[in-house]
Amino acid sequence: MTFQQLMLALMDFWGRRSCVLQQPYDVEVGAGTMHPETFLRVLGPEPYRVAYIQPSRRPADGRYGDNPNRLEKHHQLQVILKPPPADIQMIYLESLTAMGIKLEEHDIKFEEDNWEWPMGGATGVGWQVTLDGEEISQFTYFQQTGGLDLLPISGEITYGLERILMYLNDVENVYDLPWNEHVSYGEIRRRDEFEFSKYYFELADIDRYFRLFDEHEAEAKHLLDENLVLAAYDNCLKCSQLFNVLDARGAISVTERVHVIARVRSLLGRVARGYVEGRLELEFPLLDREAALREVERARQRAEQSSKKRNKKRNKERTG
Amino acid sequence: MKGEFLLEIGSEEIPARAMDKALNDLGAGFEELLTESDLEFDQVRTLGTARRLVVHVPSLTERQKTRKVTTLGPPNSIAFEDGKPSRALEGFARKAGVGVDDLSVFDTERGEYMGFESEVGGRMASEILSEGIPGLVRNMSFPKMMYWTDPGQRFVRPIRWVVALFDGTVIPLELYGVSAGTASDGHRVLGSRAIRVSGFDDYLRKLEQNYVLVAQDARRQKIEFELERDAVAHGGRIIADAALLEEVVFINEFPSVVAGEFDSRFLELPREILITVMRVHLKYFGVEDADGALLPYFLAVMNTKEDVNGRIRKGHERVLRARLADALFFWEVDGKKTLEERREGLGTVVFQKELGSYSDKLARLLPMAASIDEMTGAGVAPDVLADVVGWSKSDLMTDLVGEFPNMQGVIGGLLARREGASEEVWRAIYEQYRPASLEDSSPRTMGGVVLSLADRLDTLIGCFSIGAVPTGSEDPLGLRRHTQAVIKMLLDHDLPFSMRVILESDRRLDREGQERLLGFYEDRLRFILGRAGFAYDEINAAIGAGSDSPVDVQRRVEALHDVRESPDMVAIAGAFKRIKNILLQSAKKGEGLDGDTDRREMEAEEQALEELVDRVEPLVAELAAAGEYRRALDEMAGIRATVDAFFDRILVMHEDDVIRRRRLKLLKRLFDSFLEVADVSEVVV
Repeated sequence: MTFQQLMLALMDFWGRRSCVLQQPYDVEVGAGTMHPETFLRVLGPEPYRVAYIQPSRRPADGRYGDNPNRLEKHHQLQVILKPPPADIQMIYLESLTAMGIKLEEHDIKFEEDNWEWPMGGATGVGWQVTLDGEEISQFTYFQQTGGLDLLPISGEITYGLERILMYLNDVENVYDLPWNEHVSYGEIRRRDEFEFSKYYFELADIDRYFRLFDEHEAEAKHLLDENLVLAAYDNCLKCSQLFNVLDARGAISVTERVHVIARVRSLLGRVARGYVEGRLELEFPLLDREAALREVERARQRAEQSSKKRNKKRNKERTG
Repeated sequence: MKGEFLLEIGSEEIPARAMDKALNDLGAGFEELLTESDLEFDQVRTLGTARRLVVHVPSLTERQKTRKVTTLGPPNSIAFEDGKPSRALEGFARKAGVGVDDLSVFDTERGEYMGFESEVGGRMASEILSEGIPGLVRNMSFPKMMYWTDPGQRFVRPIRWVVALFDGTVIPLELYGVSAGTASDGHRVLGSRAIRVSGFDDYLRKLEQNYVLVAQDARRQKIEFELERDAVAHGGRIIADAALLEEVVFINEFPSVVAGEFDSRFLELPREILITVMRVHLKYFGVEDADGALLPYFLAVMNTKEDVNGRIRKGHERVLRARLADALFFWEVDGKKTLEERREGLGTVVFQKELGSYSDKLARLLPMAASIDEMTGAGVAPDVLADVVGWSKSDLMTDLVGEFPNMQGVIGGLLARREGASEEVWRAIYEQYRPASLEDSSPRTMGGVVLSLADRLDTLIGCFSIGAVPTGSEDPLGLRRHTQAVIKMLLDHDLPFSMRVILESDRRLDREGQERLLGFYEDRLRFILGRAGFAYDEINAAIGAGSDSPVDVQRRVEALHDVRESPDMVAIAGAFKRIKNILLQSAKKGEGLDGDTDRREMEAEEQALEELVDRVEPLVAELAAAGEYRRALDEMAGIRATVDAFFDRILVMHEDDVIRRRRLKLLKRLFDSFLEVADVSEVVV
């Protein structure tokens, strides 16, 4: 099987299960979860199903193209099912069949692996799925994003495409994978691994990176003040990537780390709340009309209650 | 009539580490429910896999026992007026829903009352269970919970099916929106869905046909048998690992063992690293020969019946090969520089922003370790200690620690051994992060103990000096754990110690900071002693006499624990509370104890107490200094009669200033003297 056959097989599989087939996000991200089609769509009451392939950058994992298993950039195929159907794990196993895996000939396990993205105020509970010992997918039930409890929750499935194909083809070196019948993975990607490893580990200017971080943070704040959450979100993603590079360079100490993460987290919290408010203003168009109106009403009541609470508190403070 | 009860809660994969507690909690909850509901049963068994929690009661009564209950109304004396039922009696009958004619007289301890007898209970078991089970399951707790439809309803993973049968009939109930029925579910890949079962035996049989061994004991036996079989087949024996075994018992619904091989060049890796790669990352068992040398084989437990075409073995071998290749590469690269050379790089590794780099930490550790060595009498030679401390953090600069952060220290020790360091040195580096918890054991070498003490105390004092103090459940730097480890090491090795001297010589904390840290440290000491089974008041009394040295505190609390039940001790505790109150009150009034006294109106009881204090004061001081706390307490208990007589006859708060002062001073002497052993006023009598 070639890399592109694998991508097509999985996209086709999920396309047939009512997923919107999306494209990778055009801002650099560390994982498929950071694509707005996940981070934002899992918020609020509207149902959604989406699948896309997301090239994901992990500066710290760069090895100059020399390591057979580690890559600065790898490809994740990400699926979001919101809400998750009761048989979501069985559907997932069917997707393995779609890749040509005969399930009864293998050792498949769902082992506890909970997920957390502190910067995104996001947590989930789930498993890593192993195939004969190889971790081939992450399976997560989202519980929180942007610090907001999710209702409904989403089921997220992430396939590590390179690793799966290495297993299927019994290839020991990622660069030997066939991208298609004519070109190998190494022929296409090896040079970028070298260049970006060199860039992230040796040449990225740390002071400039810190400055850029401040600039994008400021821009995100500015945009949030103008209620433009999508553009603000892009700037948060920039911050996250800058942070990852600084981290790979060891330029951020343990205590600073906590502080820097908190700065982005508070921005992403505002993005999340702003996004939900925006969907509310549109009256949740992806819900059927009746359910949408119920949700709008519910949101109105919640707002009323919390403003009552605020007033009460304010009055108490005044009298006290 | 008796019947059989079966409950199966079908879930998505529950983390293996949570299973044991979950089954125990479920079983205990069930027994409680049955007992409280007066339902007779023979036993409650719990079984399960990652995908199912099962309760089986082989013999359960069909109906609750019935009991006679008497309901009493008004006393007979006011029940009738002129031979007719009074208003009180009629009111009672109406409220209770019985006729006045149904009431009769009951003879009670308080006299005759009107009332009636009725039978309660007799409800059907299935009715009680259908009401009780949902609450019982909702109350189960797991280390990490989730919700999937209703945020108010949390469980460990989504519940997908429920089987609840009493004697083959479905008990109507609903768990998290799932209605109970008769249909179970087989192995995810090899089994069928919707398997109808009629009772426990039928259930076990049908599930086994569908590749689920429901009983954990059956799975454990199968795994142990096959591990043994395959280890022997490869000319070795299994490296036993009980925790790993429990994990694979619960992860796999139909476990089978597959043996794999790895290239013997990986045996160059130290055993610790090989086993960590196999065990922690891949959950494989290692195999060793009769001499305990690792063999190039591993045993994996797979969740299926067989490896049809060898692909599973090949897959596991691939994964292990990639991991071992990484580890071996790092092991080789990391040997290219010595620990001494790597030490220089520590200036670039931040320990804590405000506390400097690891290089700065090392500079602090050297003198600290030397003074701890002296204080505790550990007796580590100065040149050994210099190497131990000097090389202790160099492994932070290695790729292996980057890859296996939990092996920090161990890796430093292994690298030191390869460099040819003496066993005393490399072992100390190796075990410097022990004990990792109170369940772990302390370092065995004194070098390891001294390094571990110095490192943790430096972290503790440093964090307090920058205000990074744990609050509530927040303790990101693990200061509680570090402090507990310090106390545990001192107790395990029976080492003399003074926290105050350490704080004084460190100089980073002002008086207030020192007190805050001492309070934190005392809390941990209390926790550890409480865990060892001492009562909180014993602990308070022992710590009331000082907490500087955990070993001393432990001796005092042990002595106190032994004697506290004796009548003299109980009386002394009472007397001391009185003395403490008197002293506190006079202090509150601002009365100083300074000033002259004379011997006016010296009564016999006062004189007797004075003579006693003159005698006991030096004796208690001597015994306390020698750590003979039990004997000191016996001496203290021996003064009971004299103290009692004093309080019976003597008015301490005399109106004459001089006399009052004299008596207060005497009590203060007594109090202070005994305070060297324990603040017995803290003992609750």
